[in-house]
Amino acid sequence: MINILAILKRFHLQILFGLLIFIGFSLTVQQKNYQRTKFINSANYFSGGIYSSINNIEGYFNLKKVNNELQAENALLRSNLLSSLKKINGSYYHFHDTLYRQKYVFRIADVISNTYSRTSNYITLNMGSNDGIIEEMGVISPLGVVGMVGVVTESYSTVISFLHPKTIISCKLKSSGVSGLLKWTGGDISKAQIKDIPITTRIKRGDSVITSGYSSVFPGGIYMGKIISFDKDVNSQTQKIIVDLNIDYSSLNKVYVVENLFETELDVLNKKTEQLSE
Amino acid sequence: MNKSIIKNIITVIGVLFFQLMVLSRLNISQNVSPLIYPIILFTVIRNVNRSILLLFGFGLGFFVDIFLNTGGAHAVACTVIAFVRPLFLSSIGPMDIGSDQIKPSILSLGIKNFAVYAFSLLAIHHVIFFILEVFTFHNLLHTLFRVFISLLISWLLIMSLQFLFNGRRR
Repeated sequence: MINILAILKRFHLQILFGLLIFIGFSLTVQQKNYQRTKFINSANYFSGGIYSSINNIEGYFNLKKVNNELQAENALLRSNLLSSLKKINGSYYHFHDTLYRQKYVFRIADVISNTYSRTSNYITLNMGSNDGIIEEMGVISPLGVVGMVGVVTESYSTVISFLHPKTIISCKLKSSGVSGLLKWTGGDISKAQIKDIPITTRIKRGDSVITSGYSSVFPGGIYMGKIISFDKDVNSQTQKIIVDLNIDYSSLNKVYVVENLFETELDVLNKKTEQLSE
Repeated sequence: MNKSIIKNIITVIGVLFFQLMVLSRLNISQNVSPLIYPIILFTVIRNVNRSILLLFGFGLGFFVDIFLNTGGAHAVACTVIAFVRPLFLSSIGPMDIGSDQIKPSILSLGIKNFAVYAFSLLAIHHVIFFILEVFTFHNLLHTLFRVFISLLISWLLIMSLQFLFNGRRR
């Protein structure tokens, strides 16, 4: 017993060092596990609070740009209003039609912290579970998809950015309708890739890439960017497409958090389908 | 005595604010992310209890991790430099009697010594941090390139901070 105490006393520094390194290392490993970043992240009260007060000040510098963006989107939405459509002939759908039910709900959130220069990037929003945010909701901006909610606390939430090695978005090419998975591969934040498109598909440079809506997270038809180049790989009989992203991840201010009202229903459906195959 | 404690606290808060709210939010580029906050660890007085220094280093890194969403990478890097710091300080050589109470700086160690001391500790910190951040040995050359560029800039920033706040009294 005395020996053990003596050893402890002799090597207390090394033991403390080992212990601290172990804690730090396991925190790092935990962080690397997708969406398991529950323990420490910038969605907590302390750093979230500081970030949002800094953001209040910074917000003034971006007002003009944000206004322009929102105005542009307003114009787009206004052009979709029935009042700005010409009636052709016969009847038309009016808003509270029984044929349509609301599928997506959008909530406006402020970005209070944003990184885009690292290899795994995260965004902090000023809304949390009190505002109805739930994990794995999609986040979009007027210009394209931003990411997916990762961690939620009461008043803040962390978004796993599109600029993260684990994020993939189901997309399709507008002209041909062929779908694939859009992924950021590191490096330039204005470029992303779609791999594994069949070699028989004809691809045009400049064609639009839009979200497919196959996943329950993002609505379909969100414009992501245009194709700037593609090359064929004869060995694997696939093609790789490089997409020039429409959204600029270095300046995110206002974003929309997307809630899919049918998500639980879709989940139930998927579960039943899995049971069928067993 | 009281005055110096208050001064130290203000310095720590100032450096952390500059690191977390300015440098890290600038998002300069993929390859450049300067980290100047280890200067807080470099300038702790010489004869501080090593266990306390270890705990302080870990706490400092942990605090930065919370803000930057990096898991425990900063905490590990800071703990390691807190552990090896005494070795580097003693290799700089014994100083006058009573120098134990002195904070390492360009005044007390001399410009050349402090530059070497800061560069070597910063290099250890950056290598550990950047490798833990990407958490893979894949593309190691690129990681080392990022380490090198960031290291140079962090080091220049730390040296200029030292000149800015200690240069006048020379």
